[in-house]
Amino acid sequence: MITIALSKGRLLKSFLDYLEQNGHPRWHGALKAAQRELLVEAEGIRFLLVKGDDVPTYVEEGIAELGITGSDILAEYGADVNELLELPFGHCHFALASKEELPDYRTIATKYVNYSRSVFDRSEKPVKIIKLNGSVELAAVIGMADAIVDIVQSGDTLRMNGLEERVRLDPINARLIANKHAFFTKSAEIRAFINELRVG
Amino acid sequence: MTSFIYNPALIRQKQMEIEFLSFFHGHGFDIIDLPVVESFDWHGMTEDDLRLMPQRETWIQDGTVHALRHDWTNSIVRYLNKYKIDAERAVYSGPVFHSGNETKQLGMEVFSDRTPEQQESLGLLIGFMDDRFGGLPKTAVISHYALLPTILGERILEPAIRRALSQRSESALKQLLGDHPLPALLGDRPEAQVHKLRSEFPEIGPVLEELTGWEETLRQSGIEAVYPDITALPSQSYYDGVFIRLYGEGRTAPVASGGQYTARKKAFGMGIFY
Repeated sequence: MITIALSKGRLLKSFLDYLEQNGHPRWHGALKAAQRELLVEAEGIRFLLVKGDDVPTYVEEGIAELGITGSDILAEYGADVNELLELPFGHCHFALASKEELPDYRTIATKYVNYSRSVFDRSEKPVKIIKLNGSVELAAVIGMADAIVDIVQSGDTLRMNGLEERVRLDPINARLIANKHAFFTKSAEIRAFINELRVG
Repeated sequence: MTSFIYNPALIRQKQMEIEFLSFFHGHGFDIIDLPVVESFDWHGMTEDDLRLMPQRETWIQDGTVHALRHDWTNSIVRYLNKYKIDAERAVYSGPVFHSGNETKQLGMEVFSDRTPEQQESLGLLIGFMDDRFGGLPKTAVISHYALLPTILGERILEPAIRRALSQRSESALKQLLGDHPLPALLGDRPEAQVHKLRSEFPEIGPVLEELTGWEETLRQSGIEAVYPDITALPSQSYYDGVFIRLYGEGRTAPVASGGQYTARKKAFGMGIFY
C-alpha cells in the first residue's frame, strides 16, 4: 500500500483531465467518483484529498509517501521533501495585477508572501506586502493595495473584478513530491505509480 | 510533589547515558565533554559556521557570537582544528539544539583512517542500539561524498544543480545536465543505481568498493534493508567519505547518523538522537 496526498479542487480536476487523455490507470475511476470523500482507496493506493497547502506537510511528516501539488505551494513554503518530477498538468502562472497601470507598485496584497518578496527583491524594488488568505483581488479593487500577486489561469477572475494582468511572472505546474525516507523504502511502488502516470 | 522529585523517565534517560558511556569506555573509548555554549569570533567564522548559524540558538555578548551546541561532531571538529587531542577513540553524551528544539545525542568518534577500526565502532553502536536502545534500526541509507564530485566535476558547485540533487529531481536535473547519465539513473531503484554507476563511470570503482564494504558491515550488524543514495551532498564540508543514516521502524527521521570526516586527520563519528 502506498499513500498519496492529492491537492483538492482545480489541481485535482486538471489531474483527472490529464488521466482521461493519457490512459486510465485502474484507480482512475475511484478517484473520479469521489464526491466529498477525503480518503479514497483503490488498487493498493490510498489517496488523501487535502488542501494544496497541506500536501507538503503530509509528505514531509511521512503520512503520505508521495504528493501532488502545485509548484506555487512549494515555492512559497519550501518543504523538506524530494521534488521528483514536473507533471504535465496544472499549468497556470503567477501574475502581478492591478486596477490601473502605475509606474511603481508600492503595496502588494498576496497569499504568496515569500514568493512576492523574492520577485520584488530580484527587481530591486522595495514594497510593502500584505498577507491575505483569500479573495486577494478585493484588496486591489478597494484600494487596500496598489496591486496583487496571485495565480492566474484563464484571467476570468481578474477581469470580473476589473483588474488587469500587468506583469506575467513565473510559470506554475503540478509537481510530484516524495518523502525523503520513502524515496528509498518504497522505491518500487513510487516507480510503479510514476509509470502509470505516463509522464515523459 | 513526589512525581516532581522522582521522575522514572528522567532516571531511565540518565541511566541510558551512563550505560552508553560505560559500554564504549569498556571498548577503549575515552569519555569526553565539551561546553554546551560555543563561542565564535566574527572574523574567524568558516563557511560551515556561517551555513549553520540560521539553525543555531545564538546571541552576542561583548562582541562575541555565542551559540548553543548544534551537533557533537561539529563541536569536536572545531575543537580538533584548534587543539591537539590525545584520545584515539572518544564517546560523549549531551544535549544539542536545532532550530529552537533540544535533542539528546549519544555518540562516538574514532580518530583513525583505518576503515576496519571505523567499521568495528559502527558495529558496536548498532549492537548497543539493538540490546539497549529500543531495538535494531530497520533501514540504513548510505552515501559516499566522493561520488558526485567525480561524476559531475566542477558542475557540482552550481547552486541550481545542488538544489536539484538535494531534491532528487529528475526533471530539474534533466534540464540542467542534458544527456548526462545521472538524471536517468534516478529513475532506477536505488539498489540498481550503483551497478549502473559502475559501468557508466569506471573511475569511481574504488569508491563503490568502499561503499560496498560499509554496506556489508551494516548487513552483518543485522540491518535488513540498506539503500545507497547516489545524490547525497554533505551538510558540512568536513564530511568527505561514507555517510550513514539509520532509521527505526515507521520513522521518517534518522535515529542515528554520521560518517567519515577530516579534521587535521581522517576520522569517523556517529551519533544517536533521541
